[in-house]
Amino acid sequence: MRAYSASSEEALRTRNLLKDWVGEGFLAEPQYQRMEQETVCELRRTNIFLRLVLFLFTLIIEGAAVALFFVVFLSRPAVQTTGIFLLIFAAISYVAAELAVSRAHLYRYGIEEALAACSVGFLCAGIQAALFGGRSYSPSPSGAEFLVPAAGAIASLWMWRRFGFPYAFLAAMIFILWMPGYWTLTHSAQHLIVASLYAAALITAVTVRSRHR
Amino acid sequence: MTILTRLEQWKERGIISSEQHAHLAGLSRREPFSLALELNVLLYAGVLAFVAGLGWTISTWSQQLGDVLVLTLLSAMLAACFWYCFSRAPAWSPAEAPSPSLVFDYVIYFGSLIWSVELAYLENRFHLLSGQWDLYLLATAGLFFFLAYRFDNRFVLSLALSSLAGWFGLTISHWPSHQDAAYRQYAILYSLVVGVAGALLQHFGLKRHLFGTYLNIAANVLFWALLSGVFQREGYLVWLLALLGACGGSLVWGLSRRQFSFVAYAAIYGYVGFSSILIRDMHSETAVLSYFVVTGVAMLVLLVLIARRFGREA
Repeated sequence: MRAYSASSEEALRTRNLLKDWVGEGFLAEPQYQRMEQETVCELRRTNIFLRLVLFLFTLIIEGAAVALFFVVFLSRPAVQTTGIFLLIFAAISYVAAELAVSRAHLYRYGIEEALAACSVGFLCAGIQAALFGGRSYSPSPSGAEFLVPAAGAIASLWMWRRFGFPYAFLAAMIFILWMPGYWTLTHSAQHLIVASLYAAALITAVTVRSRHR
Repeated sequence: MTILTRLEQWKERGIISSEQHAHLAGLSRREPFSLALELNVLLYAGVLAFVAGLGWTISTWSQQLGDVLVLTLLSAMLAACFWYCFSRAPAWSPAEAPSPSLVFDYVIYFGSLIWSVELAYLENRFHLLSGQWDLYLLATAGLFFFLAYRFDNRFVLSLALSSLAGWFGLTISHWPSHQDAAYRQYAILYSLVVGVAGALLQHFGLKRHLFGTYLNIAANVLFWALLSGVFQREGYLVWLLALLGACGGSLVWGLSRRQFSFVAYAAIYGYVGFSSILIRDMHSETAVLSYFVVTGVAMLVLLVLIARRFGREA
């Protein structure tokens, strides 16, 4: 299920620990050099600032490219048509993220993260437009529009599981916050539903974790 | 191969000693489990939330509570914070000094914020300096600089530099004909003053590690000031050249010192400034979007090359 092999991630963890340990004085520099040479890792990483800038420019390119597609090839399309194309772009974006990981071996590089984030965004916008037409966002207990945040939550959880992005889990939690608004108008009931969903997720996580200890 | 297996092998081959093996194996099993990051985030958020809540409570209930109670409460908290810090702090050293405890840095930060709240309350209620907020800001900046250097605290240094920036801004607002151009020039002056002061303090060996804070704040203020000049409809060319020069300097500094935040500043501020000029007269959506696709790809390629050449993580 993981996009990265266990050995690669273990090697990466080892390199991180070695770096921490030499920084904290638990290892001497010659020891570190020798040990580091033996933990070769094929994954490409970069530092946090370049990662952020790469993320930003990938978002700009993808957003502009999709908008350009609509401007050039579709003049005044129906909302459903826009939605279907957004779903196609979500799929393309996801495949590009997978390729960035499998072919280019990118690991927390910004580019694959932006592609994955765009795929979740396009998926939600696409479902909203394709299934619910041009209706503006208005949470009401009558609609099936909870499918939009539900799809966002599921896709985010998949990104978290597949690529290991920690913030994808947070995104899933935020998507879940929106869901009860489509089921009930009472704020207390909404809070109760969110709390129940979070509690259920916590119990599941604790159970699964205890089995793997 | 797991880290524990590797450690075992390194021990057998004599690369690490048995003591090192036992210690590192424990660490890799997360024994003890570190909560340092979580505790620091909670402390920082807690201090900010508490001070925000305190400010809100005082502004809402000051009439009912009365000046004496509010000022006594604030002064007591301030005195407690300063007493804690001065009694626990190690002797001053010009070098980087480790914090005596986990909460120490947050107590001094909390005290500094309480000082600001108390000062704001005093001026609002009693108008001690007849609304001359710039004097308050200058005095506060001075106090915060002292605290930052006495207790080796980056948070308080950021507050000091922000107060100084506020003083610059308020001083200009008192002038009869303050305009955007004046603000821009003084923002540039501020960034130069902060940058030079940081460089001098580093040169004289006073808390050299704080230089990064000066440089980051100076760079951001400078870039914002230059960008505001680039955004003008007329006379923007000089500002664009200055922006490109600053971006070049930031890029060289970032790459040579391996401080990649400066590479990020050069990329983002440079792109925003350059793009604002190029697309301001484009009226076609297709042209604008094509511009972003083409230049975005060019920037991405350039940044990937930089990342592969300079910014590779071990």
